[in-house]
Amino acid sequence: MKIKVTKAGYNALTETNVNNYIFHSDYNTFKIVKSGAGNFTVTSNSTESKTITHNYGTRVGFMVFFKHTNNRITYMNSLVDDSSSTSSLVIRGIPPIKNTANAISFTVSNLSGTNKTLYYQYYLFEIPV
Amino acid sequence: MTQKIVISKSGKNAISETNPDNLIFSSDYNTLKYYSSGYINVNYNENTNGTLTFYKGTVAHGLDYIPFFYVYVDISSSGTFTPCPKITSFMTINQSFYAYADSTNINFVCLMQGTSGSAKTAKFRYFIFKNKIDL
Repeated sequence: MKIKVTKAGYNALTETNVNNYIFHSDYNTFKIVKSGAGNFTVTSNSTESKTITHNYGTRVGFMVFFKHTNNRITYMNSLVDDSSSTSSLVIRGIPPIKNTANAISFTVSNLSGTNKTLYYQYYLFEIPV
Repeated sequence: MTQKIVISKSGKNAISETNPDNLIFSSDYNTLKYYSSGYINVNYNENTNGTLTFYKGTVAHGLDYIPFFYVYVDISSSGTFTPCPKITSFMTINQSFYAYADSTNINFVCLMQGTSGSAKTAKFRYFIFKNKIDL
């Protein structure tokens, strides 16, 4: 037995292209098994190691979005700067952001002379790694 | 009793199975929901005479919140896409390709600082999901 939901205009009984399905029980879905949000204070003119403890218990795929000091949002160690605005916080690529069974860790630098708040939202995905 | 919709993988019992790896779908777990996707080209010049220079393209996401997004980039027009951020440094050229979101747009940036090279085009491939980044 199968459960299938096609996109509008397609026949669930005959459609063979998986991309035309909203849901198809032959194919796994990309499940978010846990998510959470929080923030850190990053001390002025410093580079600090930070840890997001999620206690999921299994090493899985992950993604972290950060809201920078200029209210722009990006993921992992990407930048948010352009000619109109820069962030005083930099998520370092070395060492890379990493996820263990129970925690995500990364390094962040505060390039300014005042303490800054870094906001994050993480997602853990079903995929074991 | 909480009602659930659970579809297990073949050979697994949807009523008793607790490992999400053994489930095709479970209403206990959220999923990423496609909202839109597409390509955007951003022209840039590798040679900026050593000046830090931003080249940017934007795509309006059209949502009243910042969505989950993910971006790849092809910088060689070869059809080879790599995840953003892509940060390269070679000889006299420093290059970064990345994306960020604000309340209106997904922004695609080519950050150049070089004293050699040529004019090129970065092809960004973006995926925007309905899921809200709740920050």
